[in-house]
Amino acid sequence: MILTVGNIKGGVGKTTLAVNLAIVRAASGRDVLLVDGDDQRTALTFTDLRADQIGSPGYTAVGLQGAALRTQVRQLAMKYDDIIIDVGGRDTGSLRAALTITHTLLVPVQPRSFDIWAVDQVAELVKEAREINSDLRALLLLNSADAQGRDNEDAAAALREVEGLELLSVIVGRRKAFPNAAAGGRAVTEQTPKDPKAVEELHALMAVLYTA
Amino acid sequence: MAITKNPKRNQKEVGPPSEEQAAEAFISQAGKAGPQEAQEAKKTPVMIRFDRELLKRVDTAAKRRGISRAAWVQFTLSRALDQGEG
Repeated sequence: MILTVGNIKGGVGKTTLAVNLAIVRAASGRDVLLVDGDDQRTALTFTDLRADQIGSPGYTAVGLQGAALRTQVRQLAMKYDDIIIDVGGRDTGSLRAALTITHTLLVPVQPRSFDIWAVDQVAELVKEAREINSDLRALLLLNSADAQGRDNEDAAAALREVEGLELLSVIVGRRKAFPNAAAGGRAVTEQTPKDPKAVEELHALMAVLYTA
Repeated sequence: MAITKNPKRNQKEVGPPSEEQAAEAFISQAGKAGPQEAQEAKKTPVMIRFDRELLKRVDTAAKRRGISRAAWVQFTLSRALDQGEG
């Protein structure tokens, strides 16, 4: 399956989620390709760090941009069990190219007003992309959610109103385990000691992404 | 055979042409959403070194008109050009 983790807003946790998903998917025996479609190339830098720390990343990572992302991923799709594309931060050719070929789009959204406003633009893009990629499944994920307070609920209520994208019931909290693990080239599942809540949330997310 | 077809042309032949063209058009529209952005793109930033005294006079004149330095410079230049300069 081709999964794109994307948003037109930056700093929402796209790369962190993409690398965690790639690592866990690869650990379950799948042959995984991680495509970095972001100019900042954070996913590739992470993969280099991971190779340094662990020896082998466990998945293959490539950087692809713009229209080439569409043509190359389509050619590579048959060679891998799973492709995970990390893309966006703004409205780029790479993000649009990913939307034309992906099976699932996962849009991480923080429970913050700016993040929620940006989702309307994502919805517009998804609508246009469906004219080319009619089976595109588009999912909203409340990411970096607060430990307490009303903001999560308010954000969820606003996100449920977005047309054409489905809000997942799974929520990923704002947990230090994610950046801490990433700083060591690892997924939250590979940390010692593990943050059991972060691991549980990641597995719950994997379950909805890869079983439906 | 020593002649190679344009590789770009080969890429386009991968799928049905209409879908490929639609995808290409969609991808190429990236970042062109806002009309404001399109307008901004028509402007080119320039750096000009000014004599400090002249710049002071420019700023005073701009202030008198209640417009920015950039707006005053553009206004004055366009007036000079309209009057036959250049």
